[in-house]
Amino acid sequence: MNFSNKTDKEIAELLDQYMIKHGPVVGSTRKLYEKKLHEALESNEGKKSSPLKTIYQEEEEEIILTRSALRPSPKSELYTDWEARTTEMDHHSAYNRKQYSTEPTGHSFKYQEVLRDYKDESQPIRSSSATFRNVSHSKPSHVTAPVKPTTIKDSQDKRYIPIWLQFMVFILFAGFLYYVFTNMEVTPKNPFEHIN
Amino acid sequence: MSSTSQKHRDFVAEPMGDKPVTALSGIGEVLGKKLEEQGFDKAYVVLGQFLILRKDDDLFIDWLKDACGANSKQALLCYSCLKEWCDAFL
Repeated sequence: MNFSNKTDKEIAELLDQYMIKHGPVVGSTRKLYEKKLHEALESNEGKKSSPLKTIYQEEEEEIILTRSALRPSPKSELYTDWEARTTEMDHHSAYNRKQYSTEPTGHSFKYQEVLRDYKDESQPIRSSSATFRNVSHSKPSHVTAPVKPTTIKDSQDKRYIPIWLQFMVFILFAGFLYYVFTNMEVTPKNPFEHIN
Repeated sequence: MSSTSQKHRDFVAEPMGDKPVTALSGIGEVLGKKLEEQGFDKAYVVLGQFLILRKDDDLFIDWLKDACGANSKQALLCYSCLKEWCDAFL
């Protein structure tokens, strides 16, 4: 999208739309704001989708999530479930495969995987969050739910070390400290006690 | 003892007047030259840009990196320098 045709005022309005904080749009700041708008547009492209697609995939997500919620399936089983159900999204299956090979299938992380995959397959934030809501509770909560999946996904994308590993290292370290603490002996007040 | 450089302290100690852009902390010969090419030949012009970006750190640092190719450290030094100057004199 070319921003050079827009007036300064239009640029300012667009910046407000994308919730980018900014000052007045003048000659020296124009280039910077156009660049910011380009970045905002590119990051939004992955989130756009048509409404019809949303409805269909919302149902599919629900089914998969409820199935995975019922039993802790091993990696291969989950993958075959995906394969059977995502025939429509074959062009993304290669990407999905790569995702699964690097991530564990701990129960709590399945939601994240589903959300991430659907997110990358041009799903709007709202549909994934609706599914998230459907599985966990029946009441629609519109403000808090959309925020959570995106933040999980955003922080997931930027991590170089997977979060499960970080948690494990943390718990191991905490356990180690606890072990050391409990095994500390109380030193006798009088060092010469035993001799006497 | 603060962790600021002598250049920073010198700049922040008095009104900038007509000081060249290289007087700013983080801006050396190379970056100064690039800024001058764009019309930012004096420190007060960069101050103007800083103010019009509402003294915001993200915006100013982004702008500076884009304008003269400063790295994060240099841009941050320049930002802190200007910010402190503004706190004292603006």
